[in-house]
Amino acid sequence: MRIGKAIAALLALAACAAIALLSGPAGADPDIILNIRVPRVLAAALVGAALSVAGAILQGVLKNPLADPYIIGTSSGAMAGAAGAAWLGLGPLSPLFYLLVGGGGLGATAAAYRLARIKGRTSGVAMLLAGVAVSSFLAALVMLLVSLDRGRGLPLLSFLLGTVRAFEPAALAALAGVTLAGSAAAALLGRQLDILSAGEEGAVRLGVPVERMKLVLFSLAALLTAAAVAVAGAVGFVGLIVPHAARRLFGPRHAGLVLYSAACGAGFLMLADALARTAAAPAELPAGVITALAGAPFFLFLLRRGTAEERR
Amino acid sequence: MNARARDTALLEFNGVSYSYNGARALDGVSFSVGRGELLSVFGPNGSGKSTLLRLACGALKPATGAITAGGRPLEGLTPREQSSLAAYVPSEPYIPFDFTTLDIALMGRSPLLCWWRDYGPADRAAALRALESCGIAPLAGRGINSVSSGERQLAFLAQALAGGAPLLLLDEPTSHLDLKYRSAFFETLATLRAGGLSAIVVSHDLRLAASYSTSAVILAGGKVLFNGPASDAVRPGLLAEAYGIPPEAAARLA
Repeated sequence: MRIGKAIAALLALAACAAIALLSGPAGADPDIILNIRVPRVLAAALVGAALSVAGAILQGVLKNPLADPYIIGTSSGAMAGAAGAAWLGLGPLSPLFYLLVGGGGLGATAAAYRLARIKGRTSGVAMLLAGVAVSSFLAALVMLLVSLDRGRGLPLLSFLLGTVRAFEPAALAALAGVTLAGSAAAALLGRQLDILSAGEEGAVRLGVPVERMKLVLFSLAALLTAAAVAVAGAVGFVGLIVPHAARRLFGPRHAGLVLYSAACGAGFLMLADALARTAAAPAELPAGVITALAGAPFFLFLLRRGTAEERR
Repeated sequence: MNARARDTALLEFNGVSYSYNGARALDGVSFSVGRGELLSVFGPNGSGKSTLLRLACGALKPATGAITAGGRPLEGLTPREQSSLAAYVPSEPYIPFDFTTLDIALMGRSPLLCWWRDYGPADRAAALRALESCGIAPLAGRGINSVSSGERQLAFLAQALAGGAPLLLLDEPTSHLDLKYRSAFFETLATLRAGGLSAIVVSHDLRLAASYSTSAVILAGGKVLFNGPASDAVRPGLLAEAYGIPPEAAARLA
C-alpha cells in the first residue's frame, strides 16, 4: 500500500516533468529542451517542492491547515529583501541579492517569532498574529518602494507576482541543496511534528522539546521559503494547497507528508510554469497567477471530496 | 502511613505547595498512590486539581514540599524517566489533522525513542496491545476525528498505556461522555487496575469515580479537605463544605 503510493507519486512526478519539458512555443527541439527548458523546469520543481515542504512544516507546527509560508512573514521578508536589492540596483546576478532575500526571509520570521514570544513561550496563535502583522508591514514597505520609483518598481512587480526565471547555476544549486536538506530534515523530524501538531501541552508530556523543536522547524521553513522566493519571487498558493492535497491523498503523518508534499509541489509548479510559458506565448504569464487560478478550484475540489480514510 | 506503604508508593506528595504568580493554587498537599491503587481527586473548579496533575507529571515544580516517585525526588528524574513513570490522559483533546487511532496510540511510544527514529515493530505491537486493552482494537485504522468522543477518549487512554508507564494521570476523562462511555471508560480503568496499574483520576463524576476508586482526595481552595478511602469521600457534609453548597443539595449528589 505504502510502496504503491510512493511509486504512483514518482510516476506522476515524472509525467509532470515530461509534459513541462515538451511544452513550449518552440515545440520539442532537443537544443531548446536541454539548454533552456531543463534548468527552467528544474527550478520550477525545486521552488514548488521547497514551498510545499515549508507549508507542510508550518501547518503542522501551527496546528492550522490554513497556514502557509506567507502567514508567518517569511515571504514578505524575502520580498522586502528583493525590493531593497532592486532599489540598490542589484539584480539576480549579484550574490548580494540572494543574501538580502535570504536575510529578509529569516529576519522577518525571527521577528514574528520574537514578537510572539511571551514569558518564554511562543504559542501558535500568537505566532500567526505576529506573522500577519510583520507580513502586512513588510508588504506595505515593498509597495512603497515600488510606488516611489516606477522605473525600478515595474520589473519588481512581475517578481512580486511570482515568476520562475532563468538563473545562474550557482543559485539553482543552492536552491537544490536547501530543498533536499530541508525536506530530509523535516522528514526525520516527522514523528515529533506529528506530536506537535496534536497539541503542545501533550507534546511536552510525550518528551518533545517543544520550544527547541519549534525554533528548528520555523528556521527550516524560513530557509526553504527564502530559497524559493530568491529564484521565483512570491509564488502564491503552492505552500497552502499542496500540503493540504498531499494530506488528503497520503494521510497526515508528517514523515511521509513532507516527502509527498515535495513531490506534489514539484509536479504542480512544473505544470503551472509550463502553462505560464505557453498560454499567452510569446508573452509569459507570472507562474503565481497560474498557481492561484488553478490552485483555488483544486483546493475546493479536494475539500469537498473527503479524506482518504472516508473513502476506504 | 506506615513505613511499608511508603516504600511501595509509586508517587507521593509531601506538603506540596504551588503558586501561579503569587496566587496560591495548592497549599501543603500530601497524599500517596501505591501500586494498583486508583485515587480520585475531587473538588470545585479552581481548587487545584489540574495543578496537582501538572505537578504529578513533572510539568510544574513544587514551590515548597516534595514529590517523590518510588522514593526518589521527581525533579531529579530525566524527562524520559518521568514519562516512563506516569502518562497523562487529557480531557477532550482536539486534533486538527485526522491521524488514525493507531497513530494516536503510537505517539505514546515516542518518549522511548531517539529523536530521529520512526516507530518500529515493537512500538506498533505495544500500541495495538494498548488499543486492545481499551477495547478499541477494531478502530485502529479509523481516523481519530471520525470516531465517537468516547472512542477518542479511549484512544488517548491507549496512548498513555502504550508507553508502559505504571501510573496514569487522568484529567476529567469522562466529563464530555455519555453514560455508556462513562461506564465503559471506568470499566476499562478497573480492568487495568486489576492488571497492576495505578491511576490518579480528577473527576466531577463523584459517585461513579468513587465507586471505582480505592482512595480519594478532596481539595478545596488548594488544601486537602479529605484524604481517605473512596467509600468515605462522597458524604453530604463533606461535599457541602468542599463545593460550598447547601447540605440538602449535597445530599442529593452523594
